[in-house]
Amino acid sequence: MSIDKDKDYGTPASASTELVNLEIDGFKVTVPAGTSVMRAAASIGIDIPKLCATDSIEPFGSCRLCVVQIEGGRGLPASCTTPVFEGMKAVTQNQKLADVRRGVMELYISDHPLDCLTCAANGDCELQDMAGAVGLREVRYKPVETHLGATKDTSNPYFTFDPSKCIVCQRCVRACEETQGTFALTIDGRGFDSKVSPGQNQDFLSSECVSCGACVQACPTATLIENNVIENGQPEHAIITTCAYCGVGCSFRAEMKGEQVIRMVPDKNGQANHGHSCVKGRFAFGYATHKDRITKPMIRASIQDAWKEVSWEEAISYAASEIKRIQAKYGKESVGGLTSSRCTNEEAYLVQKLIRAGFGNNNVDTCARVCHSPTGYGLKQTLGEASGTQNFDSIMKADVIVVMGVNPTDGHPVFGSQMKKRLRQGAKLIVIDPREIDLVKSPHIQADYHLKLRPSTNVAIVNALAHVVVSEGLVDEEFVKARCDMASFNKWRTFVADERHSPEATESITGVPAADIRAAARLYATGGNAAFHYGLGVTEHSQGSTTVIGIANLAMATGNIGRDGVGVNPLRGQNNVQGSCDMGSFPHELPGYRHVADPATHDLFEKAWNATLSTNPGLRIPNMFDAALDGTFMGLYCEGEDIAQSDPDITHVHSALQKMECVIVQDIFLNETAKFAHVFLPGASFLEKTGTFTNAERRISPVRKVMRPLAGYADWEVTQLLSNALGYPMNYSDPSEIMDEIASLIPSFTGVSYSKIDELGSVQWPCNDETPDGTPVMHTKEFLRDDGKGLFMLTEYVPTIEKVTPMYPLILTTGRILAHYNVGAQTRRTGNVAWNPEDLLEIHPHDAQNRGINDGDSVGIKSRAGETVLHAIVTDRVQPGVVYTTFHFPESGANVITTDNSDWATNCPEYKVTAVQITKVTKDSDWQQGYRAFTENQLDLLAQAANV
Amino acid sequence: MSSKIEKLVKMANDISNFFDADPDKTVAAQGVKNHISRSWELRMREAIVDHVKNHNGEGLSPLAKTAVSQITV
Repeated sequence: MSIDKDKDYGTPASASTELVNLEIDGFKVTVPAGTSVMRAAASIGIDIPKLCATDSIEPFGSCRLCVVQIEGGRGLPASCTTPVFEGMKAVTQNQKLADVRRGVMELYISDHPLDCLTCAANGDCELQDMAGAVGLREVRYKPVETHLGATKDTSNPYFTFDPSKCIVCQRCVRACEETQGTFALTIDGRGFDSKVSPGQNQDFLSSECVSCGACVQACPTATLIENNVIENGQPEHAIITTCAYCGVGCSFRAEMKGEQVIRMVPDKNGQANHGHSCVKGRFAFGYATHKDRITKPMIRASIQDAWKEVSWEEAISYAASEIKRIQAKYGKESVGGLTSSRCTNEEAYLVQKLIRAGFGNNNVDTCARVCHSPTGYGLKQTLGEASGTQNFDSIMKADVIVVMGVNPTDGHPVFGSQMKKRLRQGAKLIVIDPREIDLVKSPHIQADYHLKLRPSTNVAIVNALAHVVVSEGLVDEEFVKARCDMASFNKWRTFVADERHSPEATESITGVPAADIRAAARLYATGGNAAFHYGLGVTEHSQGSTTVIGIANLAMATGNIGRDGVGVNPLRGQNNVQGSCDMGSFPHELPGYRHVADPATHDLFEKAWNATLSTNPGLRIPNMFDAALDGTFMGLYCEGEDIAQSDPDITHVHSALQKMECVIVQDIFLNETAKFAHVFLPGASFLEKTGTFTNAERRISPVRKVMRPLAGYADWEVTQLLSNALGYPMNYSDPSEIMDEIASLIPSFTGVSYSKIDELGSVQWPCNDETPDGTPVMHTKEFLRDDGKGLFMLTEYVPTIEKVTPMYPLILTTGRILAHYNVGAQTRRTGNVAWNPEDLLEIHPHDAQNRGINDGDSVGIKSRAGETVLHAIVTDRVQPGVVYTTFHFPESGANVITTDNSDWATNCPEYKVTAVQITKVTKDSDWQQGYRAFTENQLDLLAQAANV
Repeated sequence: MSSKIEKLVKMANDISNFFDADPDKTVAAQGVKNHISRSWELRMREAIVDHVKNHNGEGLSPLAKTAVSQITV
């Protein structure tokens, strides 16, 4: 292991396929046209001194350190901004160049603190390196005025801005613009007064900076540097791993000092993130070693009892005996478990295997139930595979981007930045969302159409778009005829052509002007490559699956599927939600999305697992709760999921958990579910184990252990212990063996192995004999249904039963924010609370005024399910009649309000539509008061654990 | 009707609302039947089938009732 860094070629690679031959310092080199002299030189090991250039951003040519001489050319051009040409002869080193470079460095250093030995960047400073490279030996200038006394900005919880060390190379400003796309930084002032400034002379924390770290990454000095490096010094080795936050699945270098993570640096070779990051992955990893981590197994007979710390052996033995006892008393079907989308593929696979083969039933489910299960259903039915169709890079070929019910700049920030880059290049944008998300209007980006629909009317909008496509002759007839099931298409064409689906007829339902829908549909169908991206704003509805089907119908009808730049792209929420679904986490499907009753699949797994498997679908999560209250489901093994916070109608969930006789929680914290548990098995963070995550583009990426598990075991080992204690033997010695087993059982994984992942960096399934290096874009030749044809399905709009009434006149919709991740168990334990310390309720000024509500007021939110209290923020980001909140803090009780209404096909909860009333209040709700008392009691019972 | 049956009835009706879009009601009923058969746990299927057999499928839409009556458990 070492800290070896990836080579910086100075300027970005050229995508040209035309090659150019030239000579640099007498060495022949051939590079793509458009390559800079600097990059061409670097490609043959000649490193030209540089300061303002780095290969993640476009060249700027300001520092003058990289000057070269070109035979036949005039002057000394900057090699970073000079493209190669055929026959060019460049010289990178001679006395004249050396004199210029030394002179440049002398000027830089004359206004730079000479504290190298005590500087935090010592050992990782390009300015220091360049001083050495050019042979700077003295500084003759004695400036009368310097920037050495400039004040540090320490407002950001993760990095420090020290302007006294700034050389105004503008790498940070350009990274903020080009890489992140936020434009939060600028150069304020002119000449000597020039300085980097966040926003309008604000500090970093209060500026528009999103703390993605791109500026810190780009800074060649200690001007922008991680606080961890300031406090602990430079890391000494690095290990490549994959982020455990959202479904983008960014690759990171975990830069370490022993077993301490000093910093997480985005991996420039990462195929999902290309060296970019967001505030969560880049900085918010401190939760992994937070004092709240529980590292000793615990048991208790009742949730009124104090926890008792026990050995692993005793905890596992107790858990297994309870599972057996419950099954003996209530039957084989009375227990089940949940796989985790935060854990690895290998771990999800083992949990579902344990339940199917060890528990002997199919009562296994996963958090996708409450997020993208409609994606799985809708895309499997229409396209033949339960996954998105593209890789992220495909967006760079899109001419039209549709963003429906997803907020990429907050929920999937790194992909959001890539999307913004394409939009700045000129791609058109259609946003379909009740809220004005950032993409609607942000620096250098303006949505061409924002279809600001009423919550719950997605299907009506999609049908209206389809109506325009069909009725205005915009169908790609050739594509449909060649690739789709014609009987289903003809039926669908007749269906959507009906006048009731026209934009004019649906305007009163959706609230969107018909003309906008018509224009948006024309743009989608005729604007070139059109890529459809969607998220939970599509799926978490009573018609979530119908909308997914409708989107697939649209893509097929317009031929926007099966090649680069187009496709149907669900942006998955959690880091491994795609993977956990692939691994067989649904109660009706074995790994690889094959039904439990399918004879060939059933036989295959029975033989492979040496177990008798049930052919009956198991219980979904909400069905488990209902069965618990019915007295027929009494034991749950819950790995890495917090159903007591994340699931809808929490009061109902809590009642069900209290009814169960044994709840086994495997997690890194005493989460909300663990407060109802009888066995606590301490889990391991992503830094403590080896395995793989699969992101939203089906990319299987390596997760590598960078420190030993704090509790002694990785999660897959704990599951194995439990399985063995239950009498179903598992004897894996390494997660690679689990992946080998997965590859032997799932046809689209047959080419996947740890050695393949090591070789390629990551691989996108399907990866098998036909596609040994993986599949970036799916359905290129045929769809994956049995007959190879895409299936159109009819998508009637059915209004939700969750309707506004005089008693509940507003619609509450929920979502995420950049700084926090889902239930917040991780991000709430990091510096990210500096940005968002609580969930807030967004309310439109009209609705606020009607209720006498001002910014910061406590407001009661009451639905048919329950009531809670939040602070209000008055904003026109939401439309009149709609309020919005996030769900990152358990005490907020966002899911006290949400109802159990759910998607017809998958029971994915209708989180996005709850009828509520908002009133100004002065105290917390009864639920919140009860929650606080319960939590205090549970924490007290936890505190007693070591003494029992 | 118990709250448990009420929920199952609602679920079956929601499913039938989707398949009801098909003008061919035989195909629609088959769709509902297949969906319930392939995704509902045995206890749930037994309960809804029993509800149709012994309580005339009270609360079920005509399509849902037709489909459930074709389910064998």
